[in-house]
Amino acid sequence: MSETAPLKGAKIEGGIDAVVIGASADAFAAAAMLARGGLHVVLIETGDRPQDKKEFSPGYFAIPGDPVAFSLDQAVIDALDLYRCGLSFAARRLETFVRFGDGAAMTTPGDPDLVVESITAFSEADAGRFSAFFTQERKLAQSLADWFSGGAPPENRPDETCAASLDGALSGRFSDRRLEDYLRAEASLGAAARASEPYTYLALLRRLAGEIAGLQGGVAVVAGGGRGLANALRRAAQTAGVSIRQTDRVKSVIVEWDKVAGVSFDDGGQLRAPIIVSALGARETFIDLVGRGRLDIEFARMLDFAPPNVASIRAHLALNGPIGDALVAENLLRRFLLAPSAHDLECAYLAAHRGELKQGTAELVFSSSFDSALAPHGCHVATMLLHPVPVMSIDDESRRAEIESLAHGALRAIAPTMSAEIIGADIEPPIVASPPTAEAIERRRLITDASGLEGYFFCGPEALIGAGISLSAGRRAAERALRYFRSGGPDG
Amino acid sequence: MSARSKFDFIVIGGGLPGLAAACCAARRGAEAALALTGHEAPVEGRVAEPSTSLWRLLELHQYELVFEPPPQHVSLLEEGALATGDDPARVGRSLAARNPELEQLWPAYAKEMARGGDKRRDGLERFLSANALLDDYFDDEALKAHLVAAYVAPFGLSGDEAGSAEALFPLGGRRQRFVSGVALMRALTQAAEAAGVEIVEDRLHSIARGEGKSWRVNFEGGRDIRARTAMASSAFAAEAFGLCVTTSGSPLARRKGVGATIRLKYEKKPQALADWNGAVFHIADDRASLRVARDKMIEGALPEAPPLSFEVNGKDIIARMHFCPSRLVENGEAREWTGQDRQVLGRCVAGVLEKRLAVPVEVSEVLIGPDVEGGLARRDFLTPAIPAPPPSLDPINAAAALAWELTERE
Repeated sequence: MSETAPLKGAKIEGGIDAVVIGASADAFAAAAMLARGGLHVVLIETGDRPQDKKEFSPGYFAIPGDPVAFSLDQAVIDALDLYRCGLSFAARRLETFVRFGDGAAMTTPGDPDLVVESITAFSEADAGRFSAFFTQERKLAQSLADWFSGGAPPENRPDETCAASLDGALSGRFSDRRLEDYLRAEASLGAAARASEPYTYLALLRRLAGEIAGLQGGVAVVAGGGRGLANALRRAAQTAGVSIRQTDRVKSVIVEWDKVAGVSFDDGGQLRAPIIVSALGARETFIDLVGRGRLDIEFARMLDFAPPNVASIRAHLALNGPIGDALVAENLLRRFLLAPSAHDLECAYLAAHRGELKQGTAELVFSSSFDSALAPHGCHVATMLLHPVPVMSIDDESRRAEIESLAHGALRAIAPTMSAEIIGADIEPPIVASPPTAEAIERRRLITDASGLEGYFFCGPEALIGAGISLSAGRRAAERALRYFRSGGPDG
Repeated sequence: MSARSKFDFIVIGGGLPGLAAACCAARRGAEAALALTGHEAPVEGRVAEPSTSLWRLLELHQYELVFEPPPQHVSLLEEGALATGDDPARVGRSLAARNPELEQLWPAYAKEMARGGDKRRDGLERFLSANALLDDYFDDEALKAHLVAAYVAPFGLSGDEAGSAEALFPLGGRRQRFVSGVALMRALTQAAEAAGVEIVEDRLHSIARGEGKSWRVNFEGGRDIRARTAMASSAFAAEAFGLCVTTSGSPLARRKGVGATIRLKYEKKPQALADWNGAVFHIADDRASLRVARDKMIEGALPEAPPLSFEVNGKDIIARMHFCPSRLVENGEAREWTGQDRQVLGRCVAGVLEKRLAVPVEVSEVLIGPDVEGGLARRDFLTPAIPAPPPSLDPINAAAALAWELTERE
């Protein structure tokens, strides 16, 4: 390693068991779990850090990140004692208010076991069918949950079911086709593939397999929004003894023979450690930090897949007064879902693939109802997730204006008689997640298992499948690293 | 014929695949019936010959079937034409005029496709899109568009769908001769009669699975048939009828929209077709135009210049549009096809042909194919899923193979 000679005061540090690179929730989860396992861990906080609450319009605050959660990994919560570290829910078992493309509305209960009654109220003829279908799919989802969170595929994986398209699996199931629209909207949020494509049925199953606060298929609001979870994870990492360092850039990962040996920085400094966990993107992790030359050829080729060109975008809207729409005003403590018709949703996906914006599904939470400090008294902040949108930069003024008008449109669709005016908007960068298709799940398995570099573990964005934060990728990476450490990996 | 009510085997859906499957089951000792759904594909042009085992089983040598070599696929480009056929070495030599590298590359590609078809279905390959696979091999956009138009578009795919690479695999498969569809239909109808297959002409009403796991098939007019085993002749026809099928999880299984067939006539033989007797022609400039057509189909709009495939029979042109909306959407409202829409479509197809062929053509008939979406919407989930052969470029042998497998299980 002659090129990294410790000149100009840069130092080489040793005595570290594991280095974790990244600033994502998964990076913190992995670091904390490794430290709890007895390792001396250094977390290099680099890349996109979670941002603080910001005032985007006078008196109105936005907390970046996902205000709702539906699939937090219970094993991480238990292992890190996250509730003790400050994780709490402002609301659990959130009910969902569904607004259909034709203006009709339906409320589904927070506990999916109680779904029959609400469906009976909406479409009596379908209540039995819907609950039978729902129960059966949740059972199937449960059996696949481990696979979704990064485990091995179940032995008796029903291939036909997995390869089905969402449309094929839903079409004709219910006499009221709006029930299909509801399930399609739930499954489509955050999924990069069109509902009519094969394998997209998995998106629905993954959504139903999610578990929050011990409730499968439930939705909860995390206190403090996306920031609340990040703070709890940081505290968990600190309590466990992780030493956190902030730096702009890791220069490279040091590889000796076929094992990793540490990381080096631009100033020539090094951290020597036999285990490295990266939560950066797959290309950055393997190609920028390690280099093609040191990777298995097949593996390097696999990293060249085209990234998804469909994303979700989150917008915070400032509303300058009471909502006005009676139905919505009554339901402010619920989660809202816009469920367009199959045709409209399909067209929105096609538009997103082409790089255009068109109204698709939207998930809406009035975050000021859960945290009154976010908006002036009597006013609201609406946090909305729009899907699908093209992967694009939001630096462009005209693009921002387009997204704002899309968000306005979605809000008007959910609350048609809204009297409050939208006086400000904040738009977060697009969130690109791999579609929860068998393809992406297989690729994740290959990326996390087959780099051919001993001691190098991955929990970056490509390890996340579908929408919603789950922490499973961090847990899996930490578990593999611990197993490697205990089996004497670094020395043997 | 007396109205029997008990059979061993029933095939839902007629056409060539249905007949072949029913004959196959009957020859293997089952008492077989064939029920028509009304969504059978029209029989015309040429089809791949029945496999040797089916040939022997049905004693097809008794019937007068005339063989032809498999058709060449020819894309008519703005400048010249591009052809692929079944002999990789010859195709490679002819493509060398476009790019010398293709002389070696094409046979390698054909070999790899043959291997792809045999390969065990694991790893990421089964999720690969046809476009990604083609991009890996070729730079020539016209060639890539040609391959997608000829092999992928017939399934209603435009090449960018996950798993659509599977449609390219038959390309390097075993060499087959072709026979006239009408002659084979005649032969199979006679073979069915000889084998004792009962063809039920009544309209199919419903299908259920009764006690003892036997299938109950009801017809309008009150006829009721029970059969121990049932299969659908093709996944597409079954879904168009509203049945749920259990094909292997093939990414080719689903499609939105329909295929349309447009018959046209010409007076003067076009120069562009002169060198290619008996070929299947394609007009698709690039893959983007196929994608646009697919998107328009889903949006329920007619494309301005649709990509076409066509065959020539005497002075008739039988053109197929693989991406045709099943319903037209106007101002957000869906509506059925009208006579006027058909005329517009016919004129539009004639326009594309006239531009490329440089001779006037006249539209004689516009047929919009069966609609899977409509069938899926009618589908009743209380009925059990019925086995169907996977979508294939060789649907007759696929159906016969399934019938063989099902009778073996008995």
